Amino acid sequence: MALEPDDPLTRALAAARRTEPGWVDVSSSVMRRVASLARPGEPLLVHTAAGEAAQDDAGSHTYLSSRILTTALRHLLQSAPTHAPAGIDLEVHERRLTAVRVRLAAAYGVELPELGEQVRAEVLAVVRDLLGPDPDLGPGQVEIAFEDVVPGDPREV
Amino acid sequence: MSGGYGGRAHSGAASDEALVRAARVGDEEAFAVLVQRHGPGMHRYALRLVGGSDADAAEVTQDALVSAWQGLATFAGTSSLKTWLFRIVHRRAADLHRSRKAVPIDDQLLSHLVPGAEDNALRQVLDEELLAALQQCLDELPWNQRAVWLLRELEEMSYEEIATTLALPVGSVRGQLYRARRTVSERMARWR
Repeated sequence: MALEPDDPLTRALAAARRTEPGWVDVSSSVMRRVASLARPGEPLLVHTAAGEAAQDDAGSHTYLSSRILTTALRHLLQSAPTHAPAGIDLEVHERRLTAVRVRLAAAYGVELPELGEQVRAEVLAVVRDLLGPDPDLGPGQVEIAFEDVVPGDPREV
Repeated sequence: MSGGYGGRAHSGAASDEALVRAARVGDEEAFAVLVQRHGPGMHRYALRLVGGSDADAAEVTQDALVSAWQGLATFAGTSSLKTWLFRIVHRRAADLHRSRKAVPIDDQLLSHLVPGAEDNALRQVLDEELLAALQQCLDELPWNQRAVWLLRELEEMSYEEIATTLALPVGSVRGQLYRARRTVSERMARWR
């Protein structure tokens, strides 16, 4: 529609396009509701440096919320321009982390086998940093899958 | 490994696809960028679609965006994120429209006639009156005509994007838009 700047409809449309004052409150409310929807994590058994289940004198075990581990892994996987996380799944059996499955988008041109090995080692390092060295959780329990390859930094493209 | 696991700030230049990928793994900051990118348009569309009520538009937009956050895993990426988000806000507005009785138009008009700043006060009041007249005209349009007109004229979507958003054939979009434009043009002509 070719309309003159002073055309009544053009002016009404321009007024309608101006950001409504209520938007700031709406966006704040949305993000508050989103934050409140965070799923409660499940407890993951923590191990001592010797690889044993950590427990106090009374025999109580120590646990870490899976939310903390997932967030730490997300931050790790978002730290380089070669790849970005598309999925992070934790397999838990009787409160023990038994496997980590990571899906990635990678930058075009990156050697995927090498990147996969590098990411597997980094993921395992974070898991051991937070949960301690579980002797049953090694590189074989960290699965890396590339589900997309994009032209550029997958954190931006 | 030692040290913290601080998150990475997302730039406003990141693509929708990259932000959706991040949001799907729980990155609320990435979703916040998407909210700021697409939310104002969704709010604007909702506001005009539901008759100019700020409270209804806020409810519709909030519900749509929270629903989008919860349903990101179902976004297949076969259409653009923008049309997916507008489809959600349209459905929420339609639900509200069905559940509400018509609001007297005089109340709607009064809400838009609050005087503005001293500068250009006359022009601002006139613009508000024009907007109120447009809102009244839109309220009288059939639902689909109103939606098609808003998505084309206010949000400047292509016919294909509108068809995807409203799940209508492109030919139907053209027809609805033609009739809506004719009605709006006739009603607004009295303000010339």
